[in-house]
Amino acid sequence: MPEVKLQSIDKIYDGGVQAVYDFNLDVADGEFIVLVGPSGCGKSTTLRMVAGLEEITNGKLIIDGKDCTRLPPKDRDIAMVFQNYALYGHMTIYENMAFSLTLRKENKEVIHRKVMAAAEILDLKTQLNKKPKQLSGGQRQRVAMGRAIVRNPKVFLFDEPLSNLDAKLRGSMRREIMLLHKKLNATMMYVTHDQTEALTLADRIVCMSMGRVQQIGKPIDLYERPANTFVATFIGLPPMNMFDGVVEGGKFKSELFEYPLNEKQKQTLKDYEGKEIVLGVRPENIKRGGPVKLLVTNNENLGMNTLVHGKIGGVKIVVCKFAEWCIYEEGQTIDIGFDPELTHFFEKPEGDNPGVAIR
Amino acid sequence: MKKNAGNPVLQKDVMRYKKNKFGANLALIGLALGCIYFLSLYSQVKNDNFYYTWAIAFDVIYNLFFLLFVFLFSEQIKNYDDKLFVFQIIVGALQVARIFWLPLTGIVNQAISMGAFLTMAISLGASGACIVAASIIGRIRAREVAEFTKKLENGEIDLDKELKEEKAVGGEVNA
Repeated sequence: MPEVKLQSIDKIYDGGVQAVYDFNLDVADGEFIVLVGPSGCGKSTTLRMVAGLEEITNGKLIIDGKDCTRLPPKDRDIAMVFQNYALYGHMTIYENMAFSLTLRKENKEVIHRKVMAAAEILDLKTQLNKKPKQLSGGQRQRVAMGRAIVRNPKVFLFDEPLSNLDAKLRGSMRREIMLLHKKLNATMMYVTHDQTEALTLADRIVCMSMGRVQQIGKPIDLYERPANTFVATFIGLPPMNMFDGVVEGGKFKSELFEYPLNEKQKQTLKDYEGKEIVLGVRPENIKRGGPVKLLVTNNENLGMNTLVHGKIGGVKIVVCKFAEWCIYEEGQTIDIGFDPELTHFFEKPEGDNPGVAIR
Repeated sequence: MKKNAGNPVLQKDVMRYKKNKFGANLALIGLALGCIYFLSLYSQVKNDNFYYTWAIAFDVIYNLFFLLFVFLFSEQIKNYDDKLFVFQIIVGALQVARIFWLPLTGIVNQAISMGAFLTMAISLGASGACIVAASIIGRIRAREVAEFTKKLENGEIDLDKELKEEKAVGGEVNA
């Protein structure tokens, strides 16, 4: 399986709109890369540029050591799975899966072997004589994947393949994609806006916003060490709570509360005395008992944990996730604190500064 | 195109997933040729000429059934269904026999030109030949598929083994 290198790639549309800025990424052999970000962040455009469906304005794309920047899609030896499956309705599942090989005029027997092998991997053997409309969404998506597998491409590209499926099916398909990657050990690039998919599937995640890469790293890195406020709030569910404030006299002072810093935090923030910064804390890192007063507005018991929504200073909405089963009444005030080891500090986002993490 | 030595088991297994398009298309060609025949014939029918009799009415009705049945046959052949094999042969043979009815009587009574006769005779003959050939091909392939499926069900053929053999040897399959 080959490596994919994207070097300083820009995408500028005819009207001058720039969708992707200076995208750099080296995808290793057999690696599963997930591009994640909100709608319109340029992740699908990047994938389509790799596929050859969008022209690369500037930069270089290298697949398996070969410069593919200006190569037509058919010569790149890649397979793409789309959100809407893109199956031929008048063909059977077998014919759909065999179609690309039939076009290449492959031997019928070779085609048969490849289709049957893919059908076995994807558990589609009993569906081969059916038409796509007779299958469920998950099965159709498996057929779309099967069509990619039979081609034995250098790189698999997935463009939000699970977005059309319901939550339950999405979960099971996610596991199937994970298993598929293990079985094939193929180089895969996967686009999604669903952070759960990104965190569970990826070897590395590329988090994008407004056409720019915000952070590239292992899922745990993005979760535990977000590079800036965007990544911090995008990764994690519910999102990280962010508080604007100033570092003064060994305390983080916001309009709503004052939070004493420990020695390690003071050391980290020694260059920011008197400056505006952002304190971030994940809902699951908020503990009961502490210097901050929270006015409870809503209490959601989820069985394994409890989500408590509340306000600090009557303004700032905060979400806390407690591991225990808690019952709070609306209007009740509770004391909360932040786990000092798991509290994040960021520069205040201004202009070109996305609010980089202070470490 | 990649050459392959050929595995008879896999060649039969492919038939379970691919329709008999060759046989079905042959039947449809027979149908199209039948259309050429009756279009040629009806272009010769004029008020008060030789063909302006009850026979044409009968021929029109027969042609309607012919179109319907041959289309049905093509679908059956496509799906390896040989239940109407004998009926298919009869319809094919009837096409050939029809040469000796309206076209031949027309030329004998000098109601049509030799060119028109030849058009009708050739299209009818070719139509009949195509339908008979399609039926025979359909019958042979339907039996092959049925026999293969029966062997699979009885466990006489280990399909998985056949499919895996190539993987081990040629590495053609990526999984």
